[in-house]
Amino acid sequence: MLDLLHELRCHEVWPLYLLPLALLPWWVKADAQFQYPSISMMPHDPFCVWVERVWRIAATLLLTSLLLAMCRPYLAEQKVDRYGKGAHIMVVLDRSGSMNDDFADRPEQGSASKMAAARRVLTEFTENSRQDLIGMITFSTSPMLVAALGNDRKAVLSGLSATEAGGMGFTAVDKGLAMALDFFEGKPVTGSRVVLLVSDGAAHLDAKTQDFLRNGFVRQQASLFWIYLRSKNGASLTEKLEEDDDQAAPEYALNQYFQTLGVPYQAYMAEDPAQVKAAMQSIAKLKNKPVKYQEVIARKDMGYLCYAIALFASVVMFGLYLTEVRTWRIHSIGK
Amino acid sequence: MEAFYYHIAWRSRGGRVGGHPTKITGGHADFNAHVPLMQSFNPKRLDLRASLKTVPKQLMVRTFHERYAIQAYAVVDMSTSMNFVGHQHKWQLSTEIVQAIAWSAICNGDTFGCVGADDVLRMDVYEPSTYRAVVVEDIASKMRSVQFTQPVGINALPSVSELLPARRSLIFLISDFYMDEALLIQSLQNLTAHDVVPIVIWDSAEITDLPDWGWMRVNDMEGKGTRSVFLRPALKQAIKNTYRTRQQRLTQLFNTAGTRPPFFVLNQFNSEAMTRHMLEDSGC
Repeated sequence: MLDLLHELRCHEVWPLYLLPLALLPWWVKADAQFQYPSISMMPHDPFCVWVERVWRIAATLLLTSLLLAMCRPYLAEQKVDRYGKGAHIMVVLDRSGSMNDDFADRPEQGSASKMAAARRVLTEFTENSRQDLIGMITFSTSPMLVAALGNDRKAVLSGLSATEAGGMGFTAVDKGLAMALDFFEGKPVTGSRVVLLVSDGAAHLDAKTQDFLRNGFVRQQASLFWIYLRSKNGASLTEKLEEDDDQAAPEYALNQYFQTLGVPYQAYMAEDPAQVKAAMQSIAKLKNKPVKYQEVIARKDMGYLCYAIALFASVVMFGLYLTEVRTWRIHSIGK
Repeated sequence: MEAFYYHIAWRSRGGRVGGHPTKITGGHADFNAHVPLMQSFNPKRLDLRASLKTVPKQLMVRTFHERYAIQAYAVVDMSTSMNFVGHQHKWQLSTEIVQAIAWSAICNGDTFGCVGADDVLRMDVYEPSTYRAVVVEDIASKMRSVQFTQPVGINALPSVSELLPARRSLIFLISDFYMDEALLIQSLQNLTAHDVVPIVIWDSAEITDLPDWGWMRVNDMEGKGTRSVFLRPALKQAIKNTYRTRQQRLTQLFNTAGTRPPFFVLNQFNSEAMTRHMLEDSGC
């Protein structure tokens, strides 16, 4: 709480010079005074004394809070350390055209597309992993940032629902991964870093790209999980085709390459939505390192507080004003 | 203006012929004693029945006390609190009462005088003792022309005896009696030579006729400050109780000081009630 006080700033200072005005209510005499022969005949009553005091205090409070509000106070932007269990997860989601197909190659009416399956599972994953930092990148021909690595679940979920629009273009795995790694750059390693690649295919990576990615993974100490949404007739990650042709079955080659990265790597071959879910569950178990991260709280205008106090004080004063006696007797006393 | 009748239970010692008992021998009204004829040679007052009872036989005559007039005075509190206007303007009510006293005194054949006091003795309403009947109008016009401006108290009350005669007189002390007790006791002590009738003027607008609820600030008319008052039934009751206590206290004080019991005037002056009050306890 005291720390918050340190962060209290204001735009203007000059209204503070007017603060002595707040003493004015203690000087003024109430204008409506009844003449009474002898106040010694009025019994001493603490309640009455306090009514008078409350009236003056409320007036002082009103002036003070309005002057403070004129200073336009605000709570400066601040960073709050937060601890969480979980990982820094960058989801790299494939949005290529083939994701619109279902697991059985030919899309049938009502069957789940691979994208829908991935979306459903990722949504569930995001919602359940409250303590993870999650970012998201979609890629097709080129990568697109959906949500930066952070605590913002809403951005990720909105990004996921945006994928309902359907995918298009090719599968540029390398660019997506490179972008995901960029988000770990320059940040303290406070939790296990995970790149979660969700795709239904792969692309050929040339040697230069392979080196670049390998450097990246090693430097960022990020582990890689690949959920491979395999179509019925899609290439297997483990079985090598007879023809020794990387171009024909890039998935197998990519899997082989990932195993040489020198960072923890796990591939899950999912051939139907149930397997996708199982794969996600096993990933969720993996990340259990405590995570420290800083959350930025935006600057906050504190003027409303002053206005609330001023409102309260004026309500009190008005209430007392309403209880004031206007006439004692019609023909009597008077001012 | 209604006159009231008053009666004294003490004997005055001089002055002019009037209607009150004296210790002066003479006249024919108040029987004093039987004395031998030779002691008071007045054969007109021979009492045969008393003479026959004497042993040895001698002639007895009746002697009487003379009836003289006394001096009646009104001593008026002129502090600003008498300017209070409730059901009645207290000062106007005091004027009426003073007029009634003056008229009653003149009707009784007594003299009337008036002394006013606030923080100083007020000579503008001073009326020396007189038999003139026109004093009734004089004193009324004097009192009507009084203007209350500055808040003043009644610190000169102990010194009113300077303007009163040394001879025992009938003093009507008209005030609201809100002064300090010490001042009141001091004043009453200075008036012990006289037969004092305190007349307490209060107004129900200051006691009971207050609003039931509400917040107000009351200003003391004698400049003793301002008080915040939040009226509510409990406080109203407390105010009423204060006045009741004050009434008892005043009665007690007057009793101790040896004056007549106080006559409380609430809102209006009733001369019949005044007569009754004066006859119930004639003072001593």
